[in-house]
Amino acid sequence: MNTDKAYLFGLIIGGGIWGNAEDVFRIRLPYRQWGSYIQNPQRASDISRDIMGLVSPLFKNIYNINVSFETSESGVWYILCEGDLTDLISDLEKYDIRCEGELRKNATLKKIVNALLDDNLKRRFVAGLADTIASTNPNHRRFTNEVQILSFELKGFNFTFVCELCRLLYSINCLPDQILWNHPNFHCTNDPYYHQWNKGFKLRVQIDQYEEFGAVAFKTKAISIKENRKLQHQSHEAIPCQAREVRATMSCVHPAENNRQLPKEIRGGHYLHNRHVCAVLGCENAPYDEIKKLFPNVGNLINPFPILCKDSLENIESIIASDSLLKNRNYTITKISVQSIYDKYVNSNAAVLLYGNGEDSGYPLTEVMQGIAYIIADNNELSGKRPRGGYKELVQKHLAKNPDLSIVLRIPDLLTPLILESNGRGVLIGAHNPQVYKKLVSIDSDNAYKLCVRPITEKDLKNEE
Amino acid sequence: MRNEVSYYPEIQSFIEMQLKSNFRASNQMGIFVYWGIGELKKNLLQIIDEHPKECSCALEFAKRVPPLSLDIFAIITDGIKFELLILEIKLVKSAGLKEWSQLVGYCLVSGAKYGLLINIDNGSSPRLTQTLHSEQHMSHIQTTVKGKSCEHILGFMQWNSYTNNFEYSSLGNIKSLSDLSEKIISEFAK
Repeated sequence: MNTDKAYLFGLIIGGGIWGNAEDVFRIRLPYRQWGSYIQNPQRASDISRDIMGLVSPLFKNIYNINVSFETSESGVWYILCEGDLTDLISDLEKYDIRCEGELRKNATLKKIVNALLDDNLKRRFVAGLADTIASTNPNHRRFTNEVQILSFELKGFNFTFVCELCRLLYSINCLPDQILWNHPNFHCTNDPYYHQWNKGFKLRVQIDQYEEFGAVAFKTKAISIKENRKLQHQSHEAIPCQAREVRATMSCVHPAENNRQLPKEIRGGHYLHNRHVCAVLGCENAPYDEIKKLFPNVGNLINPFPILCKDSLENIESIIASDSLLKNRNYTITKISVQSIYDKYVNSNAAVLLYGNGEDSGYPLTEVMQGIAYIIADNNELSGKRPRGGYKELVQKHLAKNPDLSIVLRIPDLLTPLILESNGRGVLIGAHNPQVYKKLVSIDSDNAYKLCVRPITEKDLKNEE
Repeated sequence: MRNEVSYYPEIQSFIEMQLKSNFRASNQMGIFVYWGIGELKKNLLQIIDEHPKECSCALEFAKRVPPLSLDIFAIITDGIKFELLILEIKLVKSAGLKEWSQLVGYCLVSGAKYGLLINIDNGSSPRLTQTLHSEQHMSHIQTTVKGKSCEHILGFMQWNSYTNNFEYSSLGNIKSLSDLSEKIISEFAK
């Protein structure tokens, strides 16, 4: 290991793709719009300079490998590496990095991190990774422009890699802000019928933190970080994971929690917070006590039904038909005035529950209002399934035009989802029912922090033993 | 507008970090690097005075070396023997034969084994590029002084002041900082 190899290994592990050819591999730079010569020709020109002025001599001098590049309108760049790869492959194998396919999908960083003996070597390695997979798109921010984020982005299911990278950053005092895990509990919190949850990982670091402790070698990345930094009015300090508050909100139980592509230690678990995953993975920086404190309240943090599922009425009907628990209900079908729901929403607190069978059960009024907004909206008032400009304003606007507006509700005999319909659209809203839901949860026998949720049954809802 | 001297600390600090990391990674913790800026003789004697245990092996040399104004130099030592590294820093549109000759001259006069010509944010002139590509001996100079063989190994690199990082040129006999580290490590392993 040396400082130049550390940088190259970061580049290769971040973006390396190996095929069958013995003397060629590629490094994919997934820059997309940020790197597109259509969007920003000057930056594209600078990226080509970074590749040929920085990366090319490194490869040539260290491994006698020749470098060229190609790109397309999409903004994805490939560094093409050609030559006798024997020494490079042998070096990588020393660290258990096997040169097959997309390296980061299967690579483990454990051995290579052990060889990064000081902070400088670690920073050089992190710089290589950052130049490939760290996005400096200014859209990565926390709520407003005031907290700009650098986001390490990875596809696939290599949870261990993400955890190891996070720990590596931690070890050089660069405290990550948050990890968005590639898991349905984070990509798909409300709707278990939404299948597009496999959106990849995002390891997010505040840009102030990264500027101080991290590194990039590409000038284009450095310029972008400085530009984003200027959007902030002040600098922000990061808080160590164990000192941070863990605030969890309810998420639905998603069938993909059992997806076979998820690693064994994660598969079959339900996760209440992004740092809950860190605890299950055994990270030394995870806030174990804070995670445990969530467990007694788990009935309020999970929902075996959709929290809010919006779709065409046809698709909602087929969801109901495919689930015997929903299909075999007796529904009270009633027309309800939107004005009455709106008045209740405006005049009561957000935690109000409707049509429950106890003090802490029923359908949350906030979700009912969001469902109403979706089904009464005109087509041009929706962006996908989201009302443009806020659901409350949309309902207000429609009531101003038609104060007698009403929708159809189907209220089930047990606390399965409430069904709203109108306008050819439908909505499913799962009830809060913490006393019942907490009985579905158990702790995995092999991991004291892993929660498993079994499917809910009619018996559970009837409170039968 | 920064002048070239204002870049000295960041360049020196970066090279020092890379050398130390590479020595550590090669389990060579007994090699020390001490830096001086400006006149060689005076600064070298001062370094020896401050670090006698590691640097007194260079005392005789320091006494006989002529005064020489350098940009940056480093004494690299394991306490038994030492080598000198000279950094010739330039802030010019393109570094040419004139700048290279200056580095060569300093190395010959001082006896420094290692020399780096570093241009800030710019590369080398076509003439220097061509010369260093085709004339290998221009960056690996062997001399005999008073019957003793000397070797001078030189390289050219570009400092990127925006990223605070080196961009290698492949010009000369020192191809990269890891290459320089390896050369030093193998020298001290002899």
